[in-house]
Amino acid sequence: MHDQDSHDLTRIVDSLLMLVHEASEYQAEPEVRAILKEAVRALVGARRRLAVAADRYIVAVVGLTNVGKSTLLNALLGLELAPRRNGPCTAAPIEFTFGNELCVTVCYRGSLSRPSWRCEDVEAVHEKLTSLAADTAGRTSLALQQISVKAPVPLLGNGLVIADTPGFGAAQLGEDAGSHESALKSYLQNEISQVFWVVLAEQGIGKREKNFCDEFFADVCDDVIVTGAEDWEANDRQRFRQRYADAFGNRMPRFHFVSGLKGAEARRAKDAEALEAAGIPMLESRIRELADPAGRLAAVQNSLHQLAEDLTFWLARFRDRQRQPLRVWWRPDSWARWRATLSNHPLHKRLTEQLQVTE
Amino acid sequence: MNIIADHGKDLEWARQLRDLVDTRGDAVAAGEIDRAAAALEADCFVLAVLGKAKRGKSTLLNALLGRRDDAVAPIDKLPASSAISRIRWAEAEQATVAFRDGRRENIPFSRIRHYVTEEYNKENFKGVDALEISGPFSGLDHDLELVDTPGAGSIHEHHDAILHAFIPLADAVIFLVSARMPLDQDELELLHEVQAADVDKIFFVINRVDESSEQDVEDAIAHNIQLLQQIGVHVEKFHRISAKKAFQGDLEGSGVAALMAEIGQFLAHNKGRVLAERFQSRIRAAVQPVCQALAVQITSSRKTASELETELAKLREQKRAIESDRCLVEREFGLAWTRAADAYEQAVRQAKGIISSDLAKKISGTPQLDVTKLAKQLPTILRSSLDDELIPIAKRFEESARQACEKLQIAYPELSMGDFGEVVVRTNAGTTAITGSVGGVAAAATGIGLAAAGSAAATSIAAANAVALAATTTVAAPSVISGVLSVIPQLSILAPLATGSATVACPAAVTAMPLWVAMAGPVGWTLAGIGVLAVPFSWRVSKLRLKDKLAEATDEHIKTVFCQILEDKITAIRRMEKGILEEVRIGLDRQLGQIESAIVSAKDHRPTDEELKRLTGMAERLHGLLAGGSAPKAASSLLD
Repeated sequence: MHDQDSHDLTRIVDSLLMLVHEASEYQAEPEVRAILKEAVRALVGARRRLAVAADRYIVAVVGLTNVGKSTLLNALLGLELAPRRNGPCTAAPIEFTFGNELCVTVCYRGSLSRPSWRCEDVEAVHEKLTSLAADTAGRTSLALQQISVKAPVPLLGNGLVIADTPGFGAAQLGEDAGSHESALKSYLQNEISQVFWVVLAEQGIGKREKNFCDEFFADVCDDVIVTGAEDWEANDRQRFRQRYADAFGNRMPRFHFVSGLKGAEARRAKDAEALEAAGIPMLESRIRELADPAGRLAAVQNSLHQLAEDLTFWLARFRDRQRQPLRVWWRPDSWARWRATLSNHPLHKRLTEQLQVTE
Repeated sequence: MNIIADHGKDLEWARQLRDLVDTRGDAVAAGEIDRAAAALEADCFVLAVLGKAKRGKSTLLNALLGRRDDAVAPIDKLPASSAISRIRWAEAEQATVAFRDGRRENIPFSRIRHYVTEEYNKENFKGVDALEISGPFSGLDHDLELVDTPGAGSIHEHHDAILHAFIPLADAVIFLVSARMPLDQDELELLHEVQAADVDKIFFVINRVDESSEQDVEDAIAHNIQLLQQIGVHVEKFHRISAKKAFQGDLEGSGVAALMAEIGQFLAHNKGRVLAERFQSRIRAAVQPVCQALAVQITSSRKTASELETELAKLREQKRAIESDRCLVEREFGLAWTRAADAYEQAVRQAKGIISSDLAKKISGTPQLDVTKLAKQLPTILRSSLDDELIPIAKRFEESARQACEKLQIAYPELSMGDFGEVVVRTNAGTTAITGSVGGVAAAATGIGLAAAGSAAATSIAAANAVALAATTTVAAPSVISGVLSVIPQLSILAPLATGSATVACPAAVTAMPLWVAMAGPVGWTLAGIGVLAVPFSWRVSKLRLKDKLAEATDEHIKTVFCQILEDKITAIRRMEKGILEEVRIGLDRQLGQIESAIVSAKDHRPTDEELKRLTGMAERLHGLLAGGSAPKAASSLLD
């Protein structure tokens, strides 16, 4: 059932992408072309999500070094795995997937064998990760590509993968310079469905990290997790949003204010109330929403409607401003093709209605 | 040590210089001497608190002042400070806003935050230049000026511009980092800027030590010291403090008392020396152009009308010589640029062939069973093979373009001042005097020779003034050529800091420089275009035809991508050559033109004997004064 939906949706996005892309080549006005190009970008983002929707859905937790990514994960997963600060850390992402038993698997770059260790308890997993980091620190020949940790955590059902990524931004010198970041970049570009961007409340968002976001994951990031916000009043949170809103332009992500530290403590103490106060359950439900295949499809559908609406609004306004009563927005043959694909699908019908207004 | 007497001598020296400069009516130099003298007379040491955004600069400052509220240096959960605040001791509380347009306004302490915070003065729409605050602050020595600065590296671009303009005016710096975060690239760049401004004394301070474990702080300090060592900064000591605790009143326990003691010690032993050094370097930088102009004027006045006529003829002749010389350089540059672009284009075309055939092979070689899987992977495969092929090519081109610019800068004829006030042109063939000296008046006026003769402080002050005039615009829109050329030396200094690609390592102001951006950005720009064009691959067609469809779509996609690179980007790159040359050419032409008109006017307005005598006397006195002042690094070569 859901496979069929996903299949149809994929076809609709594909043909919409072609329609808009061809229009962006077809239109003469640079302004219109630019807007259409932007729509193409949005559609490519939607497409990227659908492409992986059927298989694994990887939510990556990304942020500067030491903003508390690992602590946040402790709070989310209930695993005490955070490595020591300033100690050696791996340049490889750690993927957490569901498994009945605790197990650590390692992939090395350019190597077939994937050594795997069964672990008795979380403590053993922690030790394994620490020793892996220590073993590979400074040894580029033995490059860790990826570490997978299987754990019996209910949140990880449905093929959801949560990935802890190496922090970026810390100054690196010498031969190692850039090695962390380039590993992270290729991972973000090729394997990720969704990014949770972790920032530290008290540090705000810096120029360099914003640039990093724009370059590598802006199209798959709808959530900014602000950690260390335990003592932030609603008013301060609002000001935080406003201060950084300009930097995001029209792609404003949701801001979630949480406390990783308090959350991890509450998780240890099994204190549901404190966990709630730390904002963790809210985040969990957001992750479930993303992890749920049907929810994901709904999200993509919504974003398509939103895009169609924004696009027609903009085009109509542009047309009015130019005082030209009739304009052809779509290339006639693209439009005909669009009309022909899956024309019985309710989503297609609605989109056609939306986009037709401008004809 | 008799500090006052030392300064008295320096001040007297500066006063005499100023009187001399004044008689020539040179307002710029006189103003600069006045400001420097006022600063020295106040015997006031400028200590600036610098650091990244949200490191706790304002909190520390309040603690150093002994304030219990944050009226003087407002604190917020979000990046707060957006302007320079200069804070001194006085019996009465007073705060004055100095606006960019020269207006000044006194305000009560309670309104300070309306001018110096991002919250109330967004993007500095109120046009604040700086805040001058004084009051009976218990913790502040009477002869110390503390300066609060905006944080570096925030999303507020203008903060970095303000910092850049201010740094050369500091006598020493408190460099604040956090135990919470390891040192990052922004902080290294900020430090680099401090060093470039010749500020010798840096107090390294690590804040928020109470919020991390002892072990973490220990690790962080060791890590930072090692990192700084690698860029040639030797750190004797990292002061551990908790600015917050100090602000709450615990000076001893917070470590701030120890920091204050160290600052006090340093000032007691070195204040006079540091102030005198910075003062003299400032004065010399200000007087230098006056000396040059004067010397030039005297030599030219001694000449007869016919001699001037000869000089003019010589200049015109030299201009022709320069013309042919620079034509050669320009052609060489054009050739190098075109060659690089050609090589680029060719390599891109080759890459296209390689990628096309690789992928075609891959598709045709895939067993029918795996085609669906391949269809899914194809976008990723395509992107990574584009990456693999194109990035090295782009890197190679960028490197050759950079070399071409560098060579152009080195080989292009450059005017400077000779030892006797004559204008010298330096070309590939060597150095030739092109005018006797009259042109030097104009040369000095246009600023030729200042950079060559002045000390490091002179250039940085000049640069800072330029930035202060238009803090944000300077950073946002520098001209193409000055951008390129000024980027280069900085890049080579920063090379060890590069985190993979050169652009990442550029300091804030430089990142905004347009050549690399205009050239479609840093390495990796190829990706940007491709993302946009990613046309879907997984059309669900019947299995039998899927392979053909895939091959077709792949081919189409590759074609589009390369078409964009070949037609848009490479065309733009080819055009860029003309733009760069044009700017260089106009710059030189303007200078030559001004020199020529100066000679013409010297020919028309001959000084009387009496005037000449006066000028000579003045030059002799200036010479004597400059040679007589305690002579640090910036000795005047001109009049020796």
